[in-house]
Amino acid sequence: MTNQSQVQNGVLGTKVIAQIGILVNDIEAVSQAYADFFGVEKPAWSWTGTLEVAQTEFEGAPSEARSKLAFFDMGSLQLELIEPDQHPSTWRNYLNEHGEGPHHIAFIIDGMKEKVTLMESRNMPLVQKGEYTGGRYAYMDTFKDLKILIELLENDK
Amino acid sequence: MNKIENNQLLKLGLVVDDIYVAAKNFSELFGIEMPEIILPPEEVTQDPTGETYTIFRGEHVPARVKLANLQMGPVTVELLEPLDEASPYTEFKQKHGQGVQFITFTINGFEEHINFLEEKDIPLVHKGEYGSGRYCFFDSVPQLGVMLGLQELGRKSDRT
Repeated sequence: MTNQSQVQNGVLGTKVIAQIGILVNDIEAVSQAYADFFGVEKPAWSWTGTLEVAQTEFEGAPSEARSKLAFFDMGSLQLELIEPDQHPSTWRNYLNEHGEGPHHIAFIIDGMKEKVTLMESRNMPLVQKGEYTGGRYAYMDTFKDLKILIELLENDK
Repeated sequence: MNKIENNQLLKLGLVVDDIYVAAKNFSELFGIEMPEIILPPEEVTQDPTGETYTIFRGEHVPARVKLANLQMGPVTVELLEPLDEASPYTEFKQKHGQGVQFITFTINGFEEHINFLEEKDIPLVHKGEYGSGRYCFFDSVPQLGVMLGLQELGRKSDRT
């Protein structure tokens, strides 16, 4: 048996999945389908910030890429629909390569820099990062190990 | 019935090539104990009573798969390593490679939900009954961007 704090914390300090992100081609149509099939309200989608606001970086360089996002509360986690624009991003490239489907699972963490460094030291490189109102995100390429990407979310206190 | 009765997402099904390696990678990164790897039987025969079954695209098949469950907070990540035979997991792997195949919700009223979804042009792909519960998958990617899984727990005889 491993030591208890390790068991509870792991590298990210959490094992609670906060979101599952699903790439789609038509966020309006897919949002409507979720709303209809689950009998819930259709959420309004919104664009991620512009380059100036979101300071999006993809593969180490500033990127104009944006996505439309819509969120459904589905119990303990949110289901996030993502319709990317045509600029290169982890969203657009993954959608082109794999088609519609799950792209990442997200975790709410503290200490973004430290967590990114920890993961990079385990050969899970940073792919894309950006800011949103009240926090920031980072996509880590965990595909080799986990067969799904991980998104880190850090919200301002 | 006019909707799926429950929208609490309980499980993600993740298809992998090597379940031992994937389970180890998850358990190390998240500080979870290494899960038990549940192996399918080497020999399978169809249950003559019909009480248990797995039906994939209309055919009775074993659809064997190695399984491991990782408890990630309230949500379970189910790792699936299919054997090289007909199953929804093998079909996904051939089409997409490794990755999240389905999201699962727990419902009451198994056949009623199947009927509801098929009426809405979401075809059933697979269903299975294992005695203490039953599960099914739908071709819902065009509508929902992901395969929908439903499960009902409890013995058939306990159903109201």
